[in-house]
Amino acid sequence: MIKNKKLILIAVVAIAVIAIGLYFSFASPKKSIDVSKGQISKVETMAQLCAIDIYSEVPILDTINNKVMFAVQKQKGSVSFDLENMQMDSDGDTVKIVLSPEIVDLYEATEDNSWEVIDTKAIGTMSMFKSDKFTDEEENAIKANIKKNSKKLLYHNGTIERARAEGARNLQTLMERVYNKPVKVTDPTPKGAHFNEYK
Amino acid sequence: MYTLAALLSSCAKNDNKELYQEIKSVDKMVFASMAITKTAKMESSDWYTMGKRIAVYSYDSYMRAYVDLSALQMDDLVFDEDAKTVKVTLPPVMTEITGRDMEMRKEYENIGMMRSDLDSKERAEIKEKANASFKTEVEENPMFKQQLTDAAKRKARKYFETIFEANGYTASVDFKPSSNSDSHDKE
Repeated sequence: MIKNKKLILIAVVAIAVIAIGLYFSFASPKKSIDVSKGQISKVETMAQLCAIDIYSEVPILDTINNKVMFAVQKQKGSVSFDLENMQMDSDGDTVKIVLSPEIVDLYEATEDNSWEVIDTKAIGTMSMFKSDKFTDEEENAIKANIKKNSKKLLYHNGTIERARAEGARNLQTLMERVYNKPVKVTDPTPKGAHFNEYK
Repeated sequence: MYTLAALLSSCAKNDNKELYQEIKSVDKMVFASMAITKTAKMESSDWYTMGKRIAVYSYDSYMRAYVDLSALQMDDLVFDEDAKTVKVTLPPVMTEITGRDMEMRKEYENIGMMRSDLDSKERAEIKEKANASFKTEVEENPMFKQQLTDAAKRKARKYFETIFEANGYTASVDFKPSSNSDSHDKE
């Protein structure tokens, strides 16, 4: 009888210890996030003609070091042309301008939840014993891939071609007003000056 | 979203086809951009935790200043052929947030042996908080927009003066006043 009581007591204590252990394993400690004031780190001046603004929502599924991430990113970007480094020439009364290489800027948007991580998981052998947490280097490597793939898509879905055509038209209108003369804009790379880099 | 995740899990890796894309034709002349660094510290601790768990991350957000050339009217450029001068009245300088860095910089980390590493969702949470603070700051502190607008006006004047000078004209460049209904900040 006493032996049984001891066994019950040990079982109760063991269960209590396990329960407390589990509670603390899964309980999330108090978290605080303090944000410092914004510091202006760079101010640059330029003269660029922006022909296209881009807004996209992109699902991300990528694998790095046997870890898979699924996330959704909102992106903002633009396609512009440097007006200070353009080849210009005159042919009689006509001003001839060569459209400069496109400048493709692509950023994460600043709307709420512009970077939303849906899930991460470890894959491969013994994956259940491996961590599914991405280090900041791994996460940044994934984001570098996102940027590259999204730019590639802009070249292949015709966005850059459209931007160059519209850039040429806008440039012609602007320069005809400035020079008060006929202007002809030529585009040596209508599909994009960097098209081959994103093949 | 989770259904989408399940559907996409069968796709090849590095799949970046957009869920939604909007391509907008614009005619903006950008004269200045600004990078603003935000730094955020996350700390988690409780009475039962052992060891520190502190992480500090930073990243840059960007703004730019431009004039909308589609608002430029024919009579905004007035040439005086005799005096070889031109009076240019540009549309008002507008500012907008262009976006933020995709990557984050780890400035500092102190994770105790008994504490878990940060995960991607926590880093996203840090960025979300920093982003909310950034947007409030841009709204409430006119210094960012003012500095950017001033830089853009200086550059615009210099650009048009140079380009007209090359064409034999002396240019005087001014800007139209912004109407109250104009939204000078776009996200």
